[in-house]
Order: sequence, then C-alpha cells, then structure tokens
Amino acid sequence: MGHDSRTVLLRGMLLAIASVAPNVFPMSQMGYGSLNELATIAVLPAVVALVGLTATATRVSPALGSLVLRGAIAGALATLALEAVRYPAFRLGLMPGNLPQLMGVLLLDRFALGPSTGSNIAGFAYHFWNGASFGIVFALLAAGRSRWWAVPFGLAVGLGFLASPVVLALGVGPFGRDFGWSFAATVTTAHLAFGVALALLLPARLPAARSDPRTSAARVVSA
Amino acid sequence: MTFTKTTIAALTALLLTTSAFAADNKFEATRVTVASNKSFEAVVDALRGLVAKNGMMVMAEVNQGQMLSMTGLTLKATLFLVGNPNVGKQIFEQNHAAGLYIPLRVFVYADPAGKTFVSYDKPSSILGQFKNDKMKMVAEMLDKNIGGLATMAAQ
Repeated sequence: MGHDSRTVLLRGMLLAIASVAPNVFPMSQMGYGSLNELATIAVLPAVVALVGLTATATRVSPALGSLVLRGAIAGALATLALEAVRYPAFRLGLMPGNLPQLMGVLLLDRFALGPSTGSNIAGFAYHFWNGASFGIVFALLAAGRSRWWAVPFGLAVGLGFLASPVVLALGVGPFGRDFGWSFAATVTTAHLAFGVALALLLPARLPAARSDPRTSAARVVSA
Repeated sequence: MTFTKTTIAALTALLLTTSAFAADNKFEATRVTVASNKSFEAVVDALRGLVAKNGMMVMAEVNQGQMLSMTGLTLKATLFLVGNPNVGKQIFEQNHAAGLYIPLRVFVYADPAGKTFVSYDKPSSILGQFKNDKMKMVAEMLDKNIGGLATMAAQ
C-alpha cells in the first residue's frame, strides 16, 4: 500500500473512531443499550483505539498526527466556550436540564440516586471528550481549508443535536419546540461559540495531512 | 345486512366488556402521611435503619431531590421501594398483576417550609382491588408493618 493511500486509510479510520463517542448518547436514547453499556463496549475501546491510531498516524505522517492532536485540544478547549453559554443559560432556566450531569448519571447507571461528584466528573469528561472528538473530526475534514469552516461546522453540530433523539428524550419535543424558543436559541448560540472558539484555536489554514516523505523513505529503507 | 348487524353486535359486546373491566379496576387508595419534627436527613437515615425491624428491606432508593437538581429544582425528596421477597411471593402467588404496587412505595419529603413527612399508600387500600382474601390478609399485615415503619422513622 502506498504511503498516501495509508494516510487516506488512517484518516478514514480516525474519522470513524472519533465519531463513536458523540454518537453513543443519541444511540442510547434510540434504545440500542444504556449509556453505561455503550460507554463500556464502544466509547472506552474507541478512546484506546484513537490514542493508538494517533500514535501510528504520527509515525506514518507527522502532519496527520499533529492535525489530530491540534483538533482534539482545540475541540476540548472550545467546549469551554460552549459551556460559557450553556451553563448560565441553564441557571437562568433557558434550558430544560443540565445535560453533562444527566450524561453522568446515565454513564454511571445511577439515575435513581441522582448526580454525585463522581457522576459529574464522568459527565463532564464525556462532554469534553465529545468536544475533542468534534475537534478531531473537523480538523480531519477541513485539512487544507480555512479554519473558519469551524463556524458552520459548530452550527451543524448544534443543529444535529437539536434534531437528535436526545432532545426528544428530554421531553421538550422536536428541536425543543415544547420548551420554548430559549432552548433552540441557547443550543445554537452555544454551538456557534464552540465553532468560533474552534476556529480561533486552530491555524488560519489547516495543514493538509499527507505522509511525510522522510519518514516514509526511512520506513522503506528499514524494511 | 346480517353481516353488518353481527359486526355491530360484536363491537357493542366488546365495548361493554371493556367498560366492565375498566369499572372493575377502579379503586381508591388511602394515602397516609406522617409528619415529623426531625430533619429530612434524620428521617431518611431512621427509615433506612428501621426498615428491617419492620420485616422489610429497602429494594431501591430513588433520590428524587437529587435527580431533579439536574433541572434546577431544589427539593428534598426520596422514594423508597420497600418489601420482602417472602411476603411478595405470597402476594404474587395470588395475582401477578399486583407487581404494579409491590414493592411498596414509601416517600420521605420536606415541604417548602422544611417540615418533613413520611407518606405511603395503605397496602390494604391498593391491594383490596384484587378482591382476594389471601391478599387481603397479607395486605393488612403490611398495613401494620409500613405504618410502624413510617411512625418510628418520623418519631
């Protein structure tokens, strides 16, 4: 397999694995298993696989490895911008619930007991991991393009959330229409903030992820 | 024509049967509420400790106060599902539908003024709908057990 083909394959695998965690919560609400079960059989293995694949990607193509790391860090930090909108909105009653707390009790399978410090840590860790995952997905999709694509990307993530079964499970109707305009407005603004922060945290033009000819040559020689 | 008459008759019979079942299932639960001068936490702790003394065990605990904190609502409320597998067996042997009410629910909550209450539906009032002598006997025993539990926890 050629080095560029290997990079393309790695990129595809990284995209697929980074997409696992954000999709698990909606899947659990669609009845494919509890969040606790899906986290054990899908999210944790995906985290391990992502770390392993990123290490492999760094060896095959340092540019690809760097792209993934930058995307992950930028995505996790951009989640702070999202939180800066979401949390005050929740405290003001503009959101029906505290979603990271809800994810925490579902992750630890302790809904009946309500949130604890441990479940809050688990919920926020999953929330920030999702942010990192979206950062990776964006970095991989937008390689070679302007960072400002992160803004429509963030809005698309927010729109995807509003259309997801998670919102239906919250009992606020499709797109939160039964709760009032504040829900959709908060989600959209929070994801806009995520997109803007993601853009600002990434280089103006994301590097194209190609295999490093020096590393590739070294591999050929060593083989 | 005959077919239409038969269909109408069958539908009427079905409707009457359904209504009859609905009427049979009506019952009135007697809710008992015991006020306490103790704090919510003290009553919850007491209930946990006293449940065994009253021939039951806590099968599940639903911390509704904590759960609702995720929506921004602040309140003190915990629901206990209490029962005993052997007593449960005696009830289930009579009618599997009793599982809707067994294990029994005991609810500890604090009102907005901070006053604590222990509340439950009297087992004989909810199980009486099954019109079964054996179940009635067990339910009356449960009335005593759960009543004792609520009173002791509240004291």
